[in-house]
Amino acid sequence: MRQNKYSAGKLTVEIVMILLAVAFFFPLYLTFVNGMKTYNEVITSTVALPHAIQFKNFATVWKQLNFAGVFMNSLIITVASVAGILIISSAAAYQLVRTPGRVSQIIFMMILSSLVIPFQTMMVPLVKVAKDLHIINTLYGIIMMYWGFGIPMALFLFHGFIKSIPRELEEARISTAAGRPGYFSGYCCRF
Amino acid sequence: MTRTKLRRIVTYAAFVSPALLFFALIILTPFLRAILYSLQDWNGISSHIRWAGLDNYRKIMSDGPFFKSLWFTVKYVVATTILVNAIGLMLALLLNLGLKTQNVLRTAFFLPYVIGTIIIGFIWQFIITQLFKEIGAGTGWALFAKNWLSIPGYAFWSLVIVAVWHSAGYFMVIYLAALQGVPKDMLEAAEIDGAGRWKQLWHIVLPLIRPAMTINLFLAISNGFKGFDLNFALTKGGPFGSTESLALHIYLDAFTKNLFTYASAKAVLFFVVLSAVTLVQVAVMKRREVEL
Repeated sequence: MRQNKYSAGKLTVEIVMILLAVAFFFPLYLTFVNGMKTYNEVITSTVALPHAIQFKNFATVWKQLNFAGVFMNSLIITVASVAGILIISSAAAYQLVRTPGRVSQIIFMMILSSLVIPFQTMMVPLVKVAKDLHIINTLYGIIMMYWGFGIPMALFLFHGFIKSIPRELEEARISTAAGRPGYFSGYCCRF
Repeated sequence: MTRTKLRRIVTYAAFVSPALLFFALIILTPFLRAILYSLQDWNGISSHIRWAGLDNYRKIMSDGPFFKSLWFTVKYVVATTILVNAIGLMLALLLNLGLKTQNVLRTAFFLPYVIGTIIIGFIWQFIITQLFKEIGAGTGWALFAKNWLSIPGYAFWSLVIVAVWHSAGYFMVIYLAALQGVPKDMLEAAEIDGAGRWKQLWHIVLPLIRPAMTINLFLAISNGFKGFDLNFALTKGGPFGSTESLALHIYLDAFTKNLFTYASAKAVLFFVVLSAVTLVQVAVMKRREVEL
């Protein structure tokens, strides 16, 4: 094919794109470089390289922010919420696909349509609900909220995906494995 | 009821109920309560809740700042949707030509998206107030000599530029995935029939990536309407509330002015506007998609 030849035009495009990428990357570079400067250096010139490379700012921030502790919180929230979303919504999507009928249809459409609700609509009463459930200002509280907000999108993606797995594959497996739940945990998830 | 049927129902419930429970608790209850609050008069603290009927909605009709932020949000959505899709599609087309460095370039353009919007806001606040001043002093260009964040028109475009810089790479990735699904033999057939690069792009590639356009427009519109973090971190809605997005406006009403129920009414209106716009957009675009 002609398109695969490396012509002069392509070289021009390549160079332009590299320059563009450098421009795109510049703000991130700037952040990093200024992180290594002293306050006076930043004020006199933001673009200039630091006179001497020093990591004092990073050390200060590490201590002041209690970075390790805060990062641990983020890590716990991320791991727990992603794991929860995956387990809860894949299980639900599996049953909703494999048990067609009005009930499944209604549940799926109801959860899916909540994707258009902006967060700000639910934000104010959510605080109240969280207070009522005594999960406000707790790690597990925010994890549960992430579960709630993550489920619709994950369910939608899993639903489409499970539909594409041929049924015959599954039936052959169920007869040899330990029924539906056993099939789901042992086999379906591996796709 | 036979034993197998009972077993089936129990299994079904066991699989579906966790999702339903969290959906009901975290999404459905707050949503229904938002509608309920919007019909009441309550400051969020006192135990006395007064039934207000449609008073909140009537009050909104004469609320200048609300319509100001609605107008800002609409302008912002139009500008970011067009720019993010145009630039994303252009990047995707160029990075699909088979350049030698295209994998590195794709990563570079996607990189800003990985960083949280709040941090992006602070980085750019620094760039606009510090670096732009230096550029202005160095080159003498009047454009950079001003403080962009303190002039309403400039503050608007600062937000748009930062938003586009932040998410163009993400839209590029979706377009790239769609471009890779365009069959090569079709393009070759068109080339044999004498179609040039532009004709191929216009008559074959663009119609075939319509589904990606539907998704991208939907994402751009709904993200634009929901924009909060960037306005919060970069301009705080200023100068003079000229860059206050709807989401930020509602947040300020609810949590700094303690107008819980009034903010809820605005939030419900916000939901109606957003769902109407996105549903119309998806319905219109879906009808124009072509099947391969």
